[in-house]
Amino acid sequence: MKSHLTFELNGEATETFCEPRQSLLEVLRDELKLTGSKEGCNNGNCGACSVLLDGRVVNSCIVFGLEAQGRKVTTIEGLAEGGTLHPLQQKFLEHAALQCGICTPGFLVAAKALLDVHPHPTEAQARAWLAGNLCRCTGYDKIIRAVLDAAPSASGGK
Amino acid sequence: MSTNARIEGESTGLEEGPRLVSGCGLFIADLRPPEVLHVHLVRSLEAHARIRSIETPAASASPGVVGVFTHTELAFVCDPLEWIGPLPPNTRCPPRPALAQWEARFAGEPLAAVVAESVAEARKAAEGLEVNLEPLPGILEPESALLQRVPCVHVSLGGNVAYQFVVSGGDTEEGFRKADRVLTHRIARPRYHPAPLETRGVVARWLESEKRLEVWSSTESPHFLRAQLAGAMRLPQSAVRVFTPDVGGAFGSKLGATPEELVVCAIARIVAPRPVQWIETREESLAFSTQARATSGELKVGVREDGRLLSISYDGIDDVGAYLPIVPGHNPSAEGTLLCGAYQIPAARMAVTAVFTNNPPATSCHGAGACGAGYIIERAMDLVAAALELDCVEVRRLNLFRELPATTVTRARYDSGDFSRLVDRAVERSQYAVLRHETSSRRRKGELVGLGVALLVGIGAQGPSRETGGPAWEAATVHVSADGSAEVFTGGLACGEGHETVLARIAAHALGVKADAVRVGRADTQTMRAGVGSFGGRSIATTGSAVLGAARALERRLRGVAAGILCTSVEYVDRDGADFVSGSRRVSYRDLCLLAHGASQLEPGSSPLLEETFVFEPQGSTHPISIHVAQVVIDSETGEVSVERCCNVRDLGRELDPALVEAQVRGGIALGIELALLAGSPRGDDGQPLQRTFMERPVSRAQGVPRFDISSLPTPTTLNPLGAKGLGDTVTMAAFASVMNAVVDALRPLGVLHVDPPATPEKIWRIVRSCRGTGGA
Repeated sequence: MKSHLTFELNGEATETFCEPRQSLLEVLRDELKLTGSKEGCNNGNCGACSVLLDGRVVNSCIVFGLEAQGRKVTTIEGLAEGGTLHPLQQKFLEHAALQCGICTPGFLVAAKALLDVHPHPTEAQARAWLAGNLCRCTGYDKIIRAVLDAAPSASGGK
Repeated sequence: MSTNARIEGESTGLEEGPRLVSGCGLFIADLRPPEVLHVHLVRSLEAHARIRSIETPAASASPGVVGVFTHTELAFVCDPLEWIGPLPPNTRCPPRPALAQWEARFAGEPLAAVVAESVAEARKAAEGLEVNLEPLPGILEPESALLQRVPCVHVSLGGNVAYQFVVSGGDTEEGFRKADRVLTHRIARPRYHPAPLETRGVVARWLESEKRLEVWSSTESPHFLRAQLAGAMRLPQSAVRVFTPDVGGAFGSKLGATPEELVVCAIARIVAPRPVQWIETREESLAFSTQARATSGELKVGVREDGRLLSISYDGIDDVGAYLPIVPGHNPSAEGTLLCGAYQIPAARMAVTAVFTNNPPATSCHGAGACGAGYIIERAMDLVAAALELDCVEVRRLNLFRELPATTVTRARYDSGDFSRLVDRAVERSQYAVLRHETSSRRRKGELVGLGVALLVGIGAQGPSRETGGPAWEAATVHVSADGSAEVFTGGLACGEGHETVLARIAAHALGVKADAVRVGRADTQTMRAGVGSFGGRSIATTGSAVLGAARALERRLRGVAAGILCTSVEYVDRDGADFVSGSRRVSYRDLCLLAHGASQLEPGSSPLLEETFVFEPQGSTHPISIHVAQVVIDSETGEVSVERCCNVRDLGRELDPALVEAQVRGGIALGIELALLAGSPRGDDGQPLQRTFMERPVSRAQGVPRFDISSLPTPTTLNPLGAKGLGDTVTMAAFASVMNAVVDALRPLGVLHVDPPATPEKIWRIVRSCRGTGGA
């Protein structure tokens, strides 16, 4: 039995049908075919599925799709505006802050949540905010640098 | 003005970057072929059991289910996976079935496959499957595998030995007799899963009209996968096409075919024309997937009073689990050749017996070859330093090879580098003397603080093939279209190393064009018909050299065509930017490509196909070097180890893209720390996995990783035209060994001489407690 779900996805009114048991991640990937958010663990431990729900970063694998009813969801696909990459995306490229790239969408979304709250985070803040996201390739160093470097331009550009 | 690509240079941004930061990367789970069916595997809950029966009717009747398969059904379309090509000496590799037939040999071995319209329906249906297993006694500890009258993991083999090797040079016994002191210690490393963030996955489709199998897999070696799948599916290799999408990390755990891949192919053939997909869950990945081998053994070192090593030996047992993972170019004895590390030791011997157990299959992850030996020799150095009360850097300096090239007594040949300079640089950059002093003064205040050093010699690109016992070559094709755009195809692929960027630049440099004129094709066995793969740090050294060879050959051909057009001979053709010039005459690169495609009209017999293929065969193994200094502090209340400082100096040969190399070095160090402090894959006494999620499998996180000081002292190797030695996880293992050395150093005031990894809080807390217990603390 599928339920009707309406919410705002990356700034656009969206409606779909989903099973009550489906996670928000499954709704995004399986029903809406937005595969930018990745499944890394399916139990909220790795952050690869990070999305913003009303501006707060959540692991979409442990949020029911129906919990998004009437709310705003931002995914990696909603970061760039028009054809222009978000400053965070740009800085990730400049700092070579990605390798295999499967954790990257989650990091970018979590980093956006950080900068939305703390436009000029300290390194310790950045490391704490991103501690819920796992990266197995980079050792985090370049990711943290990219996020710190993106801080002024991200807040300025917004 | 020339804006042509140079081979070396700072990255202008990862070629694969824009799609990955936009969420447009296409990983195996992102593939959504129309009408796809999903597979859920039902696995053995017992480490060793006889399969009495598997009742499928209830599951088959479950909503959405298309079929339920056991060994019986799949046997109509596939055979077990077998080794391809000659087995290495003294190696036994029993066939590995897609689904277990009579016996389950480890907890997690696939027994049945449920195929349904959705993953959820397949999982739900699996609950209705009645599996009747009769538990059998099993082998869970590798040491017990060699005892008399114990169960055989594979009865047909009549014993539990998978392979054995002895690598030796010099007379070790004589060395021990002449030594002033002989030190022995048991050392061990645990099995663990490297836990790439992307689990494994496969999609397969059978095209009945063409009698062809198409496979997409998150693999490190598409051509081996094709060979193994074709063999098991009773198909010619030409009827199997393997594509590789973006791969989300591998670290050695995605080499060679696995039963899951075969199951999906076999089912695809049965349910054709519908495609079939299987995506490994995190639990399956951590608990049941190919892991890193466990090893344990007796280390023996003979040393003179002045600190010179006379002899070293290691006699160990490796646990490969229930099946020998089928790994291309598998050559465990490569490890033995590196037992001497960076040191001139007159006699050395490494003897390893690898045994089958009822644990998940295990192979080399993180630094094939170098990992075990490098750790052993670096622990040996610290044992010597502790016994003789010498500084650990001094002991290393005393024994170093003064000059390279040199060949160790175990016949590893180091062609280039300068060990002394690397040590000097690390001592200087880490301010070793200051750290030592600080360590002593903090100790006096009661802190458990330690300093560790490790100098690792690894294996980057192995070669030549006749010595490595497996294919060491790689092939590349460079193709230029009539509009001048170029494509590169190789047998390798990237799992986060940035190959698209670097290989494009190598080809562009040789062709004399801008890097953006070159695209690197996705790994696909149909566009690149032969290849070996990406693993063990071989890619830039071997694959890159193949690309360079092919692009150079193609450039020579273009010059030949230009000579004809410019009415001169080829030696008078020069390049100006991308253009071809001779005196005042000139033809643009683009025009030339267009003309060259019509060359057969100009010159009878010339080929219109602007394409060259080159196979690069390394003439020897490259040996990347890395020295790491780590400072740790132990919280004696909790046993938690914190890494306070890390300094790494490396010689990876020529670094074609320092930014990309640095990225991997930083990642490697974080991983090394994780291996030292966190990573292990414990199983219960009954063989049940104790780690099923990232809650139980500790991993490094952004908060726990210190800042690193890294630097490079590269000396190009002569073994390939690029001068690159490759990474080969040498940095990872240097970080790992130095942190372990630092942990032991921190505990030395308590009388501790050795700690086996991982140095988890619980283990360290127990050690501190038992040592201080006698002192009344």
